[in-house]
Amino acid sequence: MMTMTADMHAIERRLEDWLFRLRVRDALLWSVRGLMGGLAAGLGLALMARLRPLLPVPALALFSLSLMLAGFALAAALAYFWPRPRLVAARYFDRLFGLAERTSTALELARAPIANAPDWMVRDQWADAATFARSVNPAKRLPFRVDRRDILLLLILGNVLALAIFLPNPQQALLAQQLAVQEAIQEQIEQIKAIREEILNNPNLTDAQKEELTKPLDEAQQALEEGDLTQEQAVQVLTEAQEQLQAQADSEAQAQADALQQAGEGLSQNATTQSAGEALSSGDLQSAADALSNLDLSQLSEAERQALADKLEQTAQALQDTNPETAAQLQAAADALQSGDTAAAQAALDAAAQSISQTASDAAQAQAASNAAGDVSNAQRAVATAGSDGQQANNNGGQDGQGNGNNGNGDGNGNGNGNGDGNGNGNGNGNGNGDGNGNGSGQGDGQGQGTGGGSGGTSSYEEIYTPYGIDGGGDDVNLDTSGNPEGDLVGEGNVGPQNDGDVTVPYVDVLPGYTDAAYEAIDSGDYPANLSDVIRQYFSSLQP
Amino acid sequence: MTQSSSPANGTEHPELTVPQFRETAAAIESEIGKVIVGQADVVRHVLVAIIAGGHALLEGVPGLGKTMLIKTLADVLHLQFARIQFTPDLMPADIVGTDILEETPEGKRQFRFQPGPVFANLVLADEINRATPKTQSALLEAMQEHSVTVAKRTYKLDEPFFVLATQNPLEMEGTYPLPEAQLDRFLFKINVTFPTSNDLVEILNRTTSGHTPTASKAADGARIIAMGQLARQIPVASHVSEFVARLIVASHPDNEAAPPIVKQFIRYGASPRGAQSLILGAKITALFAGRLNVAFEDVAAVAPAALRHRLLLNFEGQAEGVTTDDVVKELLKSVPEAVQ
Repeated sequence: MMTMTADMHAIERRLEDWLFRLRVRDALLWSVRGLMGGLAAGLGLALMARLRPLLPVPALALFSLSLMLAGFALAAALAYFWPRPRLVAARYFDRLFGLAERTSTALELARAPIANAPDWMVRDQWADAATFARSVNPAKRLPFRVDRRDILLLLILGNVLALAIFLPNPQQALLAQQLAVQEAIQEQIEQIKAIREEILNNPNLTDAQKEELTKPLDEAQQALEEGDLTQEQAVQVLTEAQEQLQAQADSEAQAQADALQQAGEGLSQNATTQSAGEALSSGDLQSAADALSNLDLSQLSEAERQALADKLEQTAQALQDTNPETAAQLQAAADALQSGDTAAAQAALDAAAQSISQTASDAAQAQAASNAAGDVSNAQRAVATAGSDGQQANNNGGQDGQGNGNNGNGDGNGNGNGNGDGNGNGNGNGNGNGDGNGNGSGQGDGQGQGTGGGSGGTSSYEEIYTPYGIDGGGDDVNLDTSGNPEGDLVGEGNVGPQNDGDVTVPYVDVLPGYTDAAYEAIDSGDYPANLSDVIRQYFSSLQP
Repeated sequence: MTQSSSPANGTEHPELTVPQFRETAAAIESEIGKVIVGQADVVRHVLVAIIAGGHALLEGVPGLGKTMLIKTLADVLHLQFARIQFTPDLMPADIVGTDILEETPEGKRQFRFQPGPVFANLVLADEINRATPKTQSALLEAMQEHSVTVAKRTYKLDEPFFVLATQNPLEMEGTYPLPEAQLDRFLFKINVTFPTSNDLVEILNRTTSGHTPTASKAADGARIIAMGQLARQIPVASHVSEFVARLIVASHPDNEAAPPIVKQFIRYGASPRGAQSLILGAKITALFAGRLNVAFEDVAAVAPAALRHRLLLNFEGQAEGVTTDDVVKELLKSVPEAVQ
């Protein structure tokens, strides 16, 4: 291979210049096409977002913009850095600039001798090629210009993409609802963690009870965290947890604890059992149990023993129905005191204390389970109602909105705004009577298409009427069981001949049933969701 | 075009420089142009064939100046010219010569070889298709080997040696079409077309006046040989050679790269001699353009002349009236030059 001449070096430099210009030109051309590709991908995404809830508008716009920029940059980089062997490029330039294979032949001659080409001919060929290469004006054949068709297509795609993104999209409201549900689920996961922590920190619960109480919470938390649950699935998970916790809320244990608390007043009137009685009255069953087991009966006088025996007997009678085991122990202690057997009385009191302690433990678990169930129920409602405003707003228009009057006095205003086929506002005004039955009227205006709905908003309510007799005071309610043959049948029961006459129904016997019925109605959605707390508060206040 | 330098350090001292080549070629064409009106392509192709050292077959109806062209060429090149009018009763010995019995001054008798008209630099085989195949084949050895063998003795022909044959495409009755083997030995087959009206007016002016134009000597045999040697040194880039190879391969109907027209109308494609003719013709064409390398356009310029007699039409092609020129044109269109 002969030494390269200045002409060949000149050809090499020209090739470098042309190649650089070609790379820049191609990068310009292909970057526009890459931009079009990104636009097309963004358009596909936007069209998909119109068929299913995919991304919110800002995210969609941002993602489309990212795709465009990525397409632009990728295409430009690929075009610029695309491998172009020098010889192939020389052949291309020969054709482009009409050089009749001069530079490619020169390049081949520089790399390896072509058969029988003498040195003088090679030099002359290089000189000839260099002369023609110098006369080329690359700006004319390789202009930095974008194809008009590409620009036109780019504009069309851009406009279509903008329309696809920013035109009202019914899927956006659905997406907003889904996002709200997911946010609600996340919030309720945190809430469950807090409930769990509260249970674990409850000093009145044993480890076994804590484990039993936290198990449904753990399962619910795991289920919520694991999958991308739908609203219905999340509600179902929380409902199951709430039911399991509710099952642990033993109403009998709570009733027993309540009865013991009431019985404490009687015991507090006796000097010997004053501390135990006061502890019972204050609801501190464990302290009461400790105080009972620590009584020193040996120092009591005969009168004191007799008084204590009487008080214990009264208390035993009071607890006969609710706490038969404790009542039996107290009765045994009373009998032993009356017979002067203080040791047996002490043993019986120890047994009663143990029974009270067990009741305290059961009641604590029931209370904790009840509280947790209430909290989980709140969480379930929060998930169930998540995103409902947005959905209503989307469905508004065309028809008058409806307002729901709810129990209690107050005005509820429900406003829903959303992006969609239209915008609508619903206003609900409700007036409630004191008996808890609310009459509501609703007004709403909507525009657009679909159905409009305005849900009643939240407001302050006056305190619910609480029937007297909660604390055992007042008059019992007597029910005339003889019935009125001409009146309406109000109910049927197990009424036998032996039960003729007035019947007294203990308040504590019916309250748990009513409470459960109310809670079930809340869970099943029979009551307006925003009133569930009021109802719960009402029944909580009825607890003796 | 840059001036070719006289290489001071090269071992390959050219007998002829590129400018001299162009000057000589231009002078030859100019002198021929004094006698032959128009037909620039025909003249160019004949000249290319002669510089390449090949033979040319000129086909055209009578009266177009084929014979005149060749005779003028012989005058311009100052070559020994012989004309053989091919007839059905022409014998091989009438072409190559024969041993004759003669008596020496001493009274002995001996055979002496009497050279035929083929012993010339430029042989015009006029209406070659009118002779029998036996006589036609007598030219085979002369055309290929530049020698003739008579009575087991081989006689070398003087260089340069060119056979320029003519044939009439119309009067086919009583003719003997040249076999493929003999056709393949012609570098080019040149179609002599009817002159344009302007050219015809000029022909009338020249031939019906008192002055008969004559051509002067512009070169000689040695210069022609030197021109041929220079042309053979022209470099051909690899992608141009590959294009020629693809072109030849695609002319065969059984090749998958063959265009539809080849597959439908061609019985057999061009031989490797066709590729050689293309490259050699393209090299000379490049020199005519003052270029020191072969371009695709050079190949395209000589492709019809180099390939038209090397493609055999099948019955369907003949029946459809397809010409080999159509096929060559389609080949040039369909075979990619592989430029990215």
